[in-house]
Amino acid sequence: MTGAAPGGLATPVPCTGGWGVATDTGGVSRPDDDGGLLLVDPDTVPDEPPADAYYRHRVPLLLAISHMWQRKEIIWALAERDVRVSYKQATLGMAWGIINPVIQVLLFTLIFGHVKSLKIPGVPYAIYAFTGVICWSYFAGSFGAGSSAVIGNLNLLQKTHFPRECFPLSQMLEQTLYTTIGLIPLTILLVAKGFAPHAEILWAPVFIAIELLFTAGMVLAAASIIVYVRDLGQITALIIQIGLFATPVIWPLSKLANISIGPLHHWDLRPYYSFINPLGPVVDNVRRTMLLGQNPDWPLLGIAAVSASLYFVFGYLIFKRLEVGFADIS
Amino acid sequence: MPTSADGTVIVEHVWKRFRADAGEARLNAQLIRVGRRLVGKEQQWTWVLKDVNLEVKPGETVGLIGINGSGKSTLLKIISHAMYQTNGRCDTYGRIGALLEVRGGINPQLSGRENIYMFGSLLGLSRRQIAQRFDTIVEFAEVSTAIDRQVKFYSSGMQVRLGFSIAAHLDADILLVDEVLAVGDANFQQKCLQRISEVVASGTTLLFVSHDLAAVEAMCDRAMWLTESMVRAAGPTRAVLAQYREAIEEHAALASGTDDGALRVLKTEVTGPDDGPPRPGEAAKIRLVLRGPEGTSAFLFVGVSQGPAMPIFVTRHAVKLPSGEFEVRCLIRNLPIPKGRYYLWLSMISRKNGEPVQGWAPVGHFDVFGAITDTPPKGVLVLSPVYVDATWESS
Repeated sequence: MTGAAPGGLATPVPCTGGWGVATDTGGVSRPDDDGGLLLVDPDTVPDEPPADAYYRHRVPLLLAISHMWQRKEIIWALAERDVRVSYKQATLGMAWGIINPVIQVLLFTLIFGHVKSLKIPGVPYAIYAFTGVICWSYFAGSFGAGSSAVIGNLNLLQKTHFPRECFPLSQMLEQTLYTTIGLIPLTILLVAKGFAPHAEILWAPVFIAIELLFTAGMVLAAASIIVYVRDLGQITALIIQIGLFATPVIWPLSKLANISIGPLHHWDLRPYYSFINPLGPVVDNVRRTMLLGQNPDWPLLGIAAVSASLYFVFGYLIFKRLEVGFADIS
Repeated sequence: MPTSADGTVIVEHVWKRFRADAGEARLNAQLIRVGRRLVGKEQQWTWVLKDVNLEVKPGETVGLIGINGSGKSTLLKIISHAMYQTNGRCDTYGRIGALLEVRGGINPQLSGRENIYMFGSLLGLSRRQIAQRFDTIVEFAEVSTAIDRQVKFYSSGMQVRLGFSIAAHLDADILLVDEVLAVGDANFQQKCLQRISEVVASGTTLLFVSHDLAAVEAMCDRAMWLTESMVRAAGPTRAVLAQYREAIEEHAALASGTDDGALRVLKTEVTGPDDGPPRPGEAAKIRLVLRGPEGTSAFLFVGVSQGPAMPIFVTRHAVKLPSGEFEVRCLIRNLPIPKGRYYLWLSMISRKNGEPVQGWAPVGHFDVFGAITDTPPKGVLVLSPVYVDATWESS
């Protein structure tokens, strides 16, 4: 066990101060007690490290993702922990996953259900609103909880060394559960209204992928920036509130197809909008396929896919760049 | 980069700095910081590790000692990759298990069983691995009757035991232990040390931070002493501990100072038979020359310690201070301490009102020559060495 060469512990530093001589005052001796003591004179340690050896934290994106994927069990464990904890603290537990969207849909139907310009022939407004709420609440829930996932786990973060993105990503996984539960009242509503979804909804994996990429990018960026600028925690709540109305949840995306502002007439704003908010085309295409039985709007979806990928890449890169200081802040 | 065997730790010229205003994460503080950077002004930094070097081979045991704030825990966090160094290189090979203030990973809302699974997976065990160890972990933590109760209803001792037990049953190549022994009762501490030595015996590298010097001595082949963010001494545990104890002694002497006008210790001397050096098991004489406020009636306490304040033994003597210098002698029939360096501590308590005339302070040191004690088995603490004149027989 003690196979170390004496002196192998630290790089020898010349001793000039009062610590120059190794003294044998230890008394009881062990076999390895006879040498190898290295004393460092504090005066010989420079005040600053060499400028050429600063640690640069650069993790290539693909490597980071593969590391994260190797530890996916951690994401699962963190999500499970949070679900179990919130389940124990709330009497209604999982039922909140149903109650929340139902109340939102009820509100929207009461307020906007009779607005003529928002109506789509043949589609009950409650179903129309519900599809939007489901898509939106996944993002809102993930963004709200995920953005504080790192600061909420600083204690654990300082004691473990798995990839830090596991914390915000676990919140997305948890939200997946709640969103899935939210599909139950939607199903009940569909049955009650006797409305059969069209087969085109089988394109859903594409929509889900776009939503996941966009959400992950936003959550990762927010979770890492908030560690340094806590004020942003307040802003995320604001973003969620504004986003609910800035995303076509209660209004159709087609409203943006024909905009006239100042010198611009009959301007199709949708491509630009889709680039900034990829959730727009996602919501819109869920409705097109599921409620109207049309094929997906591929050009807009393409823009959304590119945009969501960029959100993801930049969000991930920001996170990896900023994670270097997470444990320093406590 | 050459790859090394699992269990290797290489720390090369590692520096770590924190912002002087650490924790300031408000928006205005950040804006000021950005502003300073734009203007090109220097940032305010505090170095918490300066040029630390450490190379540990698989299966070695290294203790990190030093006063609070000397950088030990930061170094462990960097080695565990929970924190990143500012400068230099830190490489580890193999799986790292960290016992760093283990209660952090325990969630009070969950039951003991859930916590074992949750914390176990966070530490890198698969569900199957945890299931295999479950009974061992529960048994070790001594919580079998409460395993399905929420942890918030556990006593703090049970929580700590549970946390330690989970973390102690990872099959890590490198085990980092930070001051976990400060909690829990004596029995459990001994059990923890036992467990750590088992882990070490299986070939795991151990990095051990503790203020309990006896524990460091019991566990570690080598030690590194950090002070003011720098390595002060590194090498065989006993030699480093001796340096450390001596420095603490010096520090204590400087801090307490016997020059407050109350009592002065002019001379101390410890001699053995025939005025030679003191020897274990033989008669010894402690001589003190003192001067203090005349007429004070007080108890004089004299203690002998091996390191910091806790003495191995104390003797008491009632004195009435005369004017000027006076000498007291304490005769000890069989000096009960083995070879080594010891420190003389002194305190004087007034007999009238129980107030201290002089607080507990070190006043000198002396060396004992002669027989040494046997080294205890690994992982067993020696509180302080006592000389016992023992002979063995076997048939």
